[in-house]
Amino acid sequence: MTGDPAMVRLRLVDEPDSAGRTTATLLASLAARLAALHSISGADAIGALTAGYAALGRKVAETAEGHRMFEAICRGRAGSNGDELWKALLIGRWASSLPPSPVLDQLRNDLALLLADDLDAALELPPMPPEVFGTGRPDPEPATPAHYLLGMWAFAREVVTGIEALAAATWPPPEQVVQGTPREPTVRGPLLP
Amino acid sequence: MRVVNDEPGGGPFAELVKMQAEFQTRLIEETTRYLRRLQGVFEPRAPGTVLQPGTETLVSAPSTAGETVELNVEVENRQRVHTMVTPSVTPLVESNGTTFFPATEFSPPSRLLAPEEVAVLTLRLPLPTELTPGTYRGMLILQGFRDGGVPLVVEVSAPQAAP
Repeated sequence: MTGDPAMVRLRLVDEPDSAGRTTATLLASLAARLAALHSISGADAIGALTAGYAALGRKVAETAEGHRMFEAICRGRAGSNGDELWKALLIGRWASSLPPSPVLDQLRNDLALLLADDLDAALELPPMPPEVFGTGRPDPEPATPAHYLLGMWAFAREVVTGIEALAAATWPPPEQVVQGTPREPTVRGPLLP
Repeated sequence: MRVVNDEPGGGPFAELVKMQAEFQTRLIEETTRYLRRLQGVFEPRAPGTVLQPGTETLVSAPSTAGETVELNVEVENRQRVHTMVTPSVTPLVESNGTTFFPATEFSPPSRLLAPEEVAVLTLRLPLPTELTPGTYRGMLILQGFRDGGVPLVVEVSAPQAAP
């Protein structure tokens, strides 16, 4: 081990030129997402999610750990079978033609809503118009099964960690024993020996 | 002009039909793509997180191959709601072209940060014994954050010869 570890300080802030992440804006975004489902087809919704996982996979593949996982998927049978399936069923063409959904942002925002201490107040406010993507919407990009699987892997890890973290504060102690109440003794009669 | 359909290869009429079909297919694809992009413009946006720009670089103390480098990252959530932080490291590249894919270990691997909360994430980066000495550069990134990343420099020195 080397000497004293080096340290940097990072600050997480809202995106510039936006209303930022508040309970009200996250609520508006979730409500708008649900409302949008009524105006688009199921194929578009699922296709955008598929494209979103593939887009996340592309980003994760840029990291050392993600790259190893990506290589492992591509080299294995899952990679070649996935390519054949996506080619035969035109999944790649379908997912590549849709703008990717920001699946990780949506998950993090939904977790933040579950932990918000001012949710009651936000729910009582009149409906707030959500921000729309405008021209800053990411364009469709080629989606591959390996990137999709990698994105699902990263997303699933985030789901597990996120749900464990939000339950951590109220996590019951391990090896808990709950005392029961004694039951009435069974009355034995002539009909029930 | 006499149009026949029994010529080998289909003749000029078949070529015309093929070109027309390709044009129609391309037209449908481009129209669909345009309509989807138009639909995407009005799609609700998910508010996101960015890293506040800084000039800091994470530089390790000079280490030799076989050692484990330990680096700390202090992350402060300046947003008004919780956010999840998942750090990772890109491959590290030396100026001579050697690329090192480190098997990093973060503690904790992910952290849910409350508003105004500050957490320290520790990065342990083992240097394999076959790693050649040099200065390896890469990025420490926080997964999912736009434009997020801190330059990372790992100095690997040659092991000292035994006396």
